[in-house]
Amino acid sequence: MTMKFLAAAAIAGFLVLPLVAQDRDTKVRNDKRDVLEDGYWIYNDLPAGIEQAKLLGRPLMVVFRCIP
Amino acid sequence: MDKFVCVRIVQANAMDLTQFQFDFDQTFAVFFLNADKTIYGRYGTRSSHAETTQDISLEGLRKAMEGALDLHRGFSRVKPALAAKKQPLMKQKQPEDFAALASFKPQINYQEKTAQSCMHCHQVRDAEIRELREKKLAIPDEVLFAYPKPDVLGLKLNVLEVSTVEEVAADSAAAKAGFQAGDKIVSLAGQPIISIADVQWVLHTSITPTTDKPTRIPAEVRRGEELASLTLTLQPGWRKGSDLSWRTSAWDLRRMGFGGMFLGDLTAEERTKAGLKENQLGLLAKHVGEYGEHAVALRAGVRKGDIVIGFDGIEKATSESALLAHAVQARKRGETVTVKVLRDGKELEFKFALQ
Repeated sequence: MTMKFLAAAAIAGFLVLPLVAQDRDTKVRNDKRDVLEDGYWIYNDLPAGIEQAKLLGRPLMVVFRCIP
Repeated sequence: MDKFVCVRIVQANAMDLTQFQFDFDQTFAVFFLNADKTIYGRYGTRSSHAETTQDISLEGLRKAMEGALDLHRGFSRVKPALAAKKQPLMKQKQPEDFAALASFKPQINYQEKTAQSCMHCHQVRDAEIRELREKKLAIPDEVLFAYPKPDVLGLKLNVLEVSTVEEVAADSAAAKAGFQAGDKIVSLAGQPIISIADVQWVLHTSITPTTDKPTRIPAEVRRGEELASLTLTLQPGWRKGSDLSWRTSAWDLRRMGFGGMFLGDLTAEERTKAGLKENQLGLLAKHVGEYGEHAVALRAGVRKGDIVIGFDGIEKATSESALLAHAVQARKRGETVTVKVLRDGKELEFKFALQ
């Protein structure tokens, strides 16, 4: 009985885990879209930021922030 | 924000470690840069796992931004003073130069296993510590106690301001240097200061020699209308008061030094109930790792709820951070430690090998 329960729990875990991981993956994929919609940020592209800073004569604000 | 070019970086993959050095246990860090990559300053501090209001604020960030803009306007004049805001602290040029991170690709894979392909900042620190540990080297203070908060020197800075002293602890290094509440730190070690993170950078890079000689850091503070010159003296071992417990990297340290135990303080009532003497070590095993290399203490016999009253011969009251530091500085990987615990009123001893 215990072994059957453990086996069922393991199978359930394998089914649920990909769903949980998928949510996280979806979050990461959507983050770029969401951040770019704000209109302020250059996303994950420091060279592009430097080029723009040179062009505009502005300083850069580089924010390291992982996707929660 | 309109006065800046704003760049958001969401990964540590391929981070230029010669350019971006910050406390990698933070989940938020800001660099203000000139287009030639000169660093005007940093913003972002952390000292708690969950609470942020003691470390960062929007108002503090706004003022740091203003400070960066001031430096940008006077760039040609201030550039020499900014040089030390970037220093070659690591021989690795990017995180992938660490063996533990070599399998990461430079960019996030947006097609599959996306989250897994993203390197977290704390993984850089984990890799640095792991590499030292695997070489059986003691983790030096400047790596273990990275980016110390000025509080460790008795200097509490106002989180809503750039670098205003809120409080100076009596008899502390800051008090001896002459800091007073209300002082605004203008420069430290000759570097213009625009945030608490900038103060931490100076402290982080002030590496006290292994001899008994202290390190002296010149400070310039604005006190009312006047400028005052102070000298902050860092005695050998000054960093050891720093708290490691909030750090994400503490999890791997606990694997290495505690076999996966996560220890916490007991309340006064809990100590009395356990019959502990005043200066006796007593740390609660709040959690004991259950899987793989994090389960070494569990397999040795330690259980959640045990009260650790001895660790490698240390039986005097101390913090988890201090014990962890002992485990990874005084003891090498592979050495065996004895842990003494109280469980249901009985003393038990267990041994396990450090990782």
